[in-house]
Amino acid sequence: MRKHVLCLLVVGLGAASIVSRAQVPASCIDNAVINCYNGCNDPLSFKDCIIGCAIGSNNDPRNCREKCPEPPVCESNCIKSSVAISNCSFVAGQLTATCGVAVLNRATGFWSRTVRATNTSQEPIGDIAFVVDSLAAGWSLLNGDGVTEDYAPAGMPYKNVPTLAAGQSSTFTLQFKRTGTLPFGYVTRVITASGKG
Amino acid sequence: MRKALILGMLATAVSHAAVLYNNTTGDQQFSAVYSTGFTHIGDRVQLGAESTLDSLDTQFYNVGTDATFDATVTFYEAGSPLGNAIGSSFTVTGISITGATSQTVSFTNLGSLLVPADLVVIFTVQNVSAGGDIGVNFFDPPSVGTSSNTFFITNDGTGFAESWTLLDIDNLYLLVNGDVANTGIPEPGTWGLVLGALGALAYRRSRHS
Repeated sequence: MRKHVLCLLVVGLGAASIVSRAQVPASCIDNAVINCYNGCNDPLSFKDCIIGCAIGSNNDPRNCREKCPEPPVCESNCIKSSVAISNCSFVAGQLTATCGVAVLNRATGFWSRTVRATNTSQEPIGDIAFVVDSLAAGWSLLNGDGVTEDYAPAGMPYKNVPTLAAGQSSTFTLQFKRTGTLPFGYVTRVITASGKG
Repeated sequence: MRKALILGMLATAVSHAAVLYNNTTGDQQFSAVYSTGFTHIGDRVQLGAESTLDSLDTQFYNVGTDATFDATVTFYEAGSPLGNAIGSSFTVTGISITGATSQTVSFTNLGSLLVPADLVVIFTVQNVSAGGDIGVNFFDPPSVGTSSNTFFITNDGTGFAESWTLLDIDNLYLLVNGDVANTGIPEPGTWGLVLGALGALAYRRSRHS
């Protein structure tokens, strides 16, 4: 049994350069929007919530900010359904990431985790970032290139990944600092530049 | 005197205490640390042949402050990623380790444990005193024996699995001493020693008579 073969990827794909809408199964879009609708339980914000979910079906979070008449409820639900649709795209097999175990570099005192991202699609994937979501308490990413803004959850550190041609892999190392003796862990997300904010 | 020499030759013929696996040169300066989420850390190694083990050394690192801990080694048959345990576990207790240093620990009580040529060696640590934060060190590929550079073995509490750093350094510090097991078919050199010793005994007896 091999573990850590794939990092747990939650992908927010906003740009057509990574996954075109045509590649996303229609049933996935429907499910994402319906799930979003089902979360619209507050009578006071019901209309804005529904509108946000619908706008999110366009699978581009930039539309959320521009097209929502009544943010922030509309915008947050727009992003919610947009990201859910993008997840379908990843599951359909656009990008995989293999993560190594986090190990201590005794020479530097920092922790390293090497990641190998592979474009499994037939199209180039460019301008993407590997997001470290919900990093375990006591850990911080040292060599990030920024923090997310457009994609929820915002404020998560990310590392840019070079453009990947069809079938190409890229290996990069995330460098962490740990305070205390807390276990390591995070949820992985891959986004495009449009989602960085 | 001559008798002692002959007995020595015979003893040599039946015993080959040797280094069976040596992965102790070339410190990679990387450590896998238990507190990051592992209950067990080990490696799959290949000895030259089925062997009996006398001792095993490994190297721990303490990311924390001065501490004491107990360490246990268990041998397994190779599998996916490991098979049945071989014999019982072996524990060294009360190991003192300074903060931010490496400590080589010897398991000298292996009692000629018979192991296959392809096996998995797993380490756990227990009773780590306050402030201690223990891991195991990665070293260059072995100079005696073989081991894959691309994976080692871990258990994150849900089960054993192959893991990797993706740095191609996935070999733990290990020094294994023991004997190649008696397969029942002596090597030519062994036959030579035995025949030589028996010949010397016969010659000595004939001269006495």
